Amino acid sequence: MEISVFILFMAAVFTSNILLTNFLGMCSYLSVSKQVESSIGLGLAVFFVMTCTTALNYAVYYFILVPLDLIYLQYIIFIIVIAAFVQLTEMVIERFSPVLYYSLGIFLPLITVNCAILGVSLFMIIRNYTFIQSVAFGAGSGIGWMLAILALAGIRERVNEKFIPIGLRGAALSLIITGIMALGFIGFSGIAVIQ
Amino acid sequence: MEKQKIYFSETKFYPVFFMMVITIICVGILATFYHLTNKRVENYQATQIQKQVLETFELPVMSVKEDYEKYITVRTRDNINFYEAKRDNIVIGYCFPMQGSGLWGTIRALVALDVELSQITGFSIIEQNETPGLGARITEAWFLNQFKKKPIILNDEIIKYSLIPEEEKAGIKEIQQITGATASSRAIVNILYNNLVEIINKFKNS
Amino acid sequence: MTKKQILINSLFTENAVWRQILGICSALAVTNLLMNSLVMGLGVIFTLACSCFTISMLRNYIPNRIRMMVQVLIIASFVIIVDIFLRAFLPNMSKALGPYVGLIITNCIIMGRAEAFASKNTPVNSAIDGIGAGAGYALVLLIIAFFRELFGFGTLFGVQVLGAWWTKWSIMVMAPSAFFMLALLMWGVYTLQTKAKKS
Repeated sequence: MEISVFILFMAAVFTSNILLTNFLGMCSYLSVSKQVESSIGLGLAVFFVMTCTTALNYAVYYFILVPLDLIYLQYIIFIIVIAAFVQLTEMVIERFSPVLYYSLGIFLPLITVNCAILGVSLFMIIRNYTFIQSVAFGAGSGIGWMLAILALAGIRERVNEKFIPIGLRGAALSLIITGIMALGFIGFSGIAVIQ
Repeated sequence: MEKQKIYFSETKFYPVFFMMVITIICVGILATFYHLTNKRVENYQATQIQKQVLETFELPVMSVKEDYEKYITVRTRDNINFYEAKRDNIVIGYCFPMQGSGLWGTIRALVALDVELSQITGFSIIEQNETPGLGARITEAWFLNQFKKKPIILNDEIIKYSLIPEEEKAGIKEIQQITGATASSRAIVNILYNNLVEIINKFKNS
Repeated sequence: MTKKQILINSLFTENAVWRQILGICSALAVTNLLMNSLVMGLGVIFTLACSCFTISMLRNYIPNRIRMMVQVLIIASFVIIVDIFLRAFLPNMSKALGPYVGLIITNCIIMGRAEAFASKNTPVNSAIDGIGAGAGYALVLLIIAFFRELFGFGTLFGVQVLGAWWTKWSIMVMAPSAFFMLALLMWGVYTLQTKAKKS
């Protein structure tokens, strides 16, 4: 596979953003983006989990599932890997840094059902990436997701909802803002190197 | 003295036991489903390729299996597998599978050439994973049809087509690219060029 | 609650998408074509009904500590069944929906209904609730897909409806339109509901 790792990474962040182009990870994105501070926390957590689980799932898929002809179980296995990893991370953080643990609070369990994390693993399999490419893709997607949630939080903190019609407040407004952001990100595809 | 009755469901062992049992049941059901349908899926995939070969040759397809057996023979030379199409026992063309990397993954395609290996008579994509709405448009008919009737060799050299914007008119050596999908368009041109170089060099002597 | 009330509740009143803001991910991803939305909607209804039914049947036996894991396991199993079924009998659909079939597992609706309803109610009621939630979800998908396909391709279910005179709105084919359409849908529903409440 000759795709440069750098191009893959940049494309995962910008032109094929996991949230703005592939619509993954919307639930926690919409509910947590009210404040920039919590968004940073969740974004970093998602980035970390995404990168690590992509690497783990790669290993599990190619060293366990494929040789044993159990590919059709990949959904169950991936989800279990993700859930186990998140649980492990939670325990490690709780033991070594209670401060961090309390500030992250409910985010960690929330990440398990974040469709973006499972989605990245599934995409990696479909597109036949090598290990390095998978890690780059996972990291890039994580950063892309974090970028999107930070942007939305930043905008929402400044929006004065008094001027918005009642029916449009809350989730609908977030969706419109996200749509405009997605439009903006499409502009990145004009950079010839990436896409 | 009262004997405390401890239910199995209250022991610490129960969750683990429950998990194991339910996992075994689920996996068992899934395995059954999978093996029941596996043959069907494989059959389908083989038929798809056959159908696509026929279509790239622009042969009429009524029943994939029969028409495939009627017209197509699979041959190998120098490690290259290719399809030979015969009508009324006369060879009318050759079709080569090719693959290479697109922006997002491997692109697999079929290119049909005429008997003298001088012109492209058909081009189709088997598999691609490009960005939906952008790069994925390489599967659209207008893009693929541009390659039909294009000569392969000009001035004794294999042509590497150059990309021009979608609105401009294309000359012999040019292909209209997909707006906003430069990389995917370029990937197609590169895959075509690289594979054709290999094919022509190996078949030069026939 | 009667069975009909349960159905109406999960389909309209507590609609998963516009009321509870769940299941948005796939609601946006597959809505570029009506056919894809229909298949996805049916898949979700099937998974919801079966998962809720099974989880409800086992609700008194599942130890509390592993409740989530068991639920995920059951949901994932049914999703795999849907996936296998698509691959075997509707392979074009399987390719078009791609990884989004697998993502039904993380579809918050299913986990949400399993936690909120199925773990506390009888199997048949849970199944009905699941069907209602799935149908509500499918309804939203179909509405959005209707506009996206009509304006983006000029077709409905693949059948050309608008002739060549229609300039295709390519934005409808791309990501942002899904966000806008869903926002507009929510706006419409909220406005109608507030009007109904006031009158």
